This record gives sequence, C-alpha cells and structure tokens, in this order.
Amino acid sequence: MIKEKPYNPIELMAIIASRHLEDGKLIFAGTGIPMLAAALAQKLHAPNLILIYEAGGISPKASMLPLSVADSRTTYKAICCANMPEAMEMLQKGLVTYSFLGGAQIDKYGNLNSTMIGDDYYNPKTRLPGSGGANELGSLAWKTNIIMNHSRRRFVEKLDYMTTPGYLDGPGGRERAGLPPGTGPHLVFSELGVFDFDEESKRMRLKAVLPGITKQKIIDETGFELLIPEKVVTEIEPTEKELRIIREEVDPWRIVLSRGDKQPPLTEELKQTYDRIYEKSE
Amino acid sequence: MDLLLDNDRISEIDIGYILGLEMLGLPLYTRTRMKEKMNKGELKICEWSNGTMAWRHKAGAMGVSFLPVRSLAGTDTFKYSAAKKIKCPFTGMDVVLVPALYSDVAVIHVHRADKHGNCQIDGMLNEDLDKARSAKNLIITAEKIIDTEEIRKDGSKTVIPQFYVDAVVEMPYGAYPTNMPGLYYLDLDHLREYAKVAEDRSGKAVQNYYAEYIYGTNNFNEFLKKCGGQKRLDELRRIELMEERSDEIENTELIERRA
Repeated sequence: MIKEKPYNPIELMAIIASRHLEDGKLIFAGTGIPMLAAALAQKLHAPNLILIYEAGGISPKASMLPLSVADSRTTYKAICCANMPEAMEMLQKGLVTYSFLGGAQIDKYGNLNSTMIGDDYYNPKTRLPGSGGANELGSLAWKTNIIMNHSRRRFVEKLDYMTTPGYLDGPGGRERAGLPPGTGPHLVFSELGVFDFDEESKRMRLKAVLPGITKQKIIDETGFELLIPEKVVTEIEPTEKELRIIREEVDPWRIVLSRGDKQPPLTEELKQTYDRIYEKSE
Repeated sequence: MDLLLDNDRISEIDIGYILGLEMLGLPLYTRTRMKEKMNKGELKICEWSNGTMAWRHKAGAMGVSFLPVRSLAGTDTFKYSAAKKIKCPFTGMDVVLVPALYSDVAVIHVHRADKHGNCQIDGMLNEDLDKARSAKNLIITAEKIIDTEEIRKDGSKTVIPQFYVDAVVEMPYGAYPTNMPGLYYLDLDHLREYAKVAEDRSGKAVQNYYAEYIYGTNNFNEFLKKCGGQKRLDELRRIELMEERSDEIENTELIERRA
C-alpha cells in the first residue's frame, strides 16, 4: 500500500510545515522537525524569521543543527544570548507569533497531553515527561502549530490529561480561563494532512490532505469528529528545490533527517519508533 | 535522576520536565521506575512547566513570595501544580500566581570564576541567574579559576557576584558529557550509551553503568579517563569549534584565545 517515495516522513512533515511560516515573525521552535521547518522557511521565503530557543539562544547561524534547546549551536553567531525566563517573557509579552508543539494526544480543540497515559493520574499506565516548555508555548504564542503522528490513539475524543491548552472547552474557553485573548492553536500537521480550527466553533477542521492520502483515510484515523469542508485541497508534493535545500543546506549532517530514513512498511515496531520520534519533537 | 530514584532519595518532586533526554528519547527504565514509585505512593509529583519553574526561581531571586504569570491556566497542569488563580487587583483580569522557590542547594557550572566566586559564563544563560540567586547554598564549579584582577578588568562580564556563592570548585570539563559553549561539544556517543542502558527495563544495564562509570571511579578525572580521556575531550573541542572553522579559514589564534 505504501509506495516508495523520494523523501522520508521527516522531510515531508518539515517541508509542509515550512510553507506555512510567514516572514518577519518571531518563532519559538523546539528541536527536531520544528527546527527543520523554520530553517527551511528562512532559506526559501522567510529570511527574516527569528528563531528563539528556550535556553536563551536567539537567531543563531550554525551549519549543524542543534540536538537540544540548550545545545552550544543555539548560540553560534546568535544575535543575542539570553536566558530561559527572558525567552519565556518574550512569549508572555506577546512578541512571539509562532510556537511548535507535539504531544502524545490531541483533542478536537487542540488541547494537548504530554504528561501521562491512563485513567488515573496517580496510577499512570505510562508516565511521560510532562509540560517542559509546552504549556508556555501553547498558552502564550499567538499561533501555536502542532506536529502529531496521526492515529486514533493520538487524535482522541478525550485526553487522559491536559498538559497544554488549546481552545480548552471551545469558543471563549481560553478567555474564561484567563489566557491571553487572541492566542491559540493555529495549524496541525500530521503525516496524513494539515488541519486548522474553525473560527466559530474552535473545532479542528481538515484543511489539506497530503499527497496520496484520502479524506476517508483521515476520518478513519481520527478518534473524534473532524470538520470536513466541501472543498479540501491537496498539499503539493515536496519540490526538488525544497528537498535539495533541506538536505544540502538545512541539515547536511542529517542530524534530524536521518531519523526518518527507515522507510515503511509500517510494522508495529516501526510505528512505535515513529510515535517516539514525534513525542520527542516537542 | 535514575541514581536518586534508585537510592530512594526522592519522595516528592516539583518538576517541569522529567524523564526525557530530548532527541535521545524517554528511557524505558526511568519511566518504569517512576511509574512503580507513583503506583506505590512513594513518589509525589507537583506538576509545573519550564516557564513557571523558571519564574518560581525568579521570584526567589527577587525576594518576593510569588509572581503573577499568564500561562498554566485552564489545564490539568494547573490543577496538579501548587499555583493559584486570583483576580488582578489592577485590571480585574484572572491571573495565575506561582510561589517562590528557594533550593537548599544549587550547583552551577561556569566558564570562569575567581576564588571569591565572581562568575563569568559564555553563551546562553538558561536558568543560571535565578537559580544561583534563589538558592540557599550555592556551589560553583568552574572550568578555570581566574585572578580577581581578570574579573575587575570587565565587571560587565560577571553574571553571578561573589556574595551569592558559598563554594568554588575548579572542575575542568565539568559539564561533560553535556556541552560547554565555546569549549567542548556534548559527547553524543556517551549520551547514547546511557540512553541505551536506560532502555533495559530490568535496570540491570543501568546498574552496570553505575558500577563501571560512577562507583568504579574514584573521582571525576578517572571518570573522564574512562570515557575516552584527553583524546575524546580534544575531539569534542574540535567539534565545538567546527562552526568557526567551516566558514573562516582555520583561525588557530581564535581557538587559542577561546581555550
């Protein structure tokens, strides 16, 4: 069923995400796919995108991708070496347009779980790392982008635990809770499609399918009722130019890209590996 | 963290991010241990986020009992934290309050310090400033002890002044196996090795790691030797400085200056 593609899933997700970043904005990007997307956008259409790393590195210029948000390379040729509370305060003050998040579960309002799996918080089936910076990124950025591996286990009706706010319980939820008005989830990127949120109901809506993916496939893999507009576009395949730049200029050492190199068939083991990769790209 | 969990040195933790080694994964062993401890009621977790933990240290550093913040609201993270929500007396809007955090002990590794504890750090500061200022006892480990005259040449470089500091220890390569900006890069091989032993759910592999690297060495230098010694450290230095050499012709003077 899965055809050989001239790109791996990490390349695909990063390229699709990069197309949705506007020039001249501040972006808070975690390690992994978000960093690839931001760096690619900088090289293609958003040269003035400013990257902020959680530990304080701002707008570095390194030929090798950092392995963590506190990696030396987040400061190489940086315009500023700040610190973590400062970086978080840039978010809190409303300076940061984009943030990128992942998680183990997402619901129809874009709320995220990265803390635990199970019915009982005190008796978790699986304990995960918790918020990290996610709660600030999801609470305070104007537009939070989310990268998720797509399955019914992950796109769920009800989260086991809400680590990071999306639109909470729907329209007006964020404002009622005291979160900054006008902020919230913006786009969701999965290996099946791109999703946005309906302005009225704040519910997740299919925006575009990825090449070779059907609407029905997405509906089947989603554990809640998605809004499906009459017209759904198909994302354009990664272009030669995008692939060349992401491989030759963004991550020539394949520090992040190599994690997608194993091609499906998606055995259960591989599926779990991918799950873990996405969990890690907070 | 594994070491503290194993020796039952942790019963309650206030935490923003736990278990994860970022790109290296979520070690199965630590995850299993934590779950067991939580199930038995031996481990209580107070949930926070990286931002709120940083601001709690900041409140401590400022000498105030709390700080108002705009994250956390509306989530389970708020519910399982010790934060409170009130109406802001000035704007009437809801605001979350996080309590000050004063650690009993903080250990911070810096590039250079003098014998009194005046510290210089190159690169990003992460949470160093507020953790240093909010700790009841502060131990500084430094790559190099320098003369106070050096400190006095440019006071703007001092990020932690001496009166916060209780002890200074000279500890070259003290950040190993993680990175020290401008000096050496993280040792990915060693970190991967640890991530790998931590995958063994039984804990046997982790115990073997401790036995060899931690209990099997008398001091930090022996630990470094076991990890590849000067040869490996020189490699990490070359990796750290690779960026400079990639777009400028080999600038040995610069490398020497950094050294």
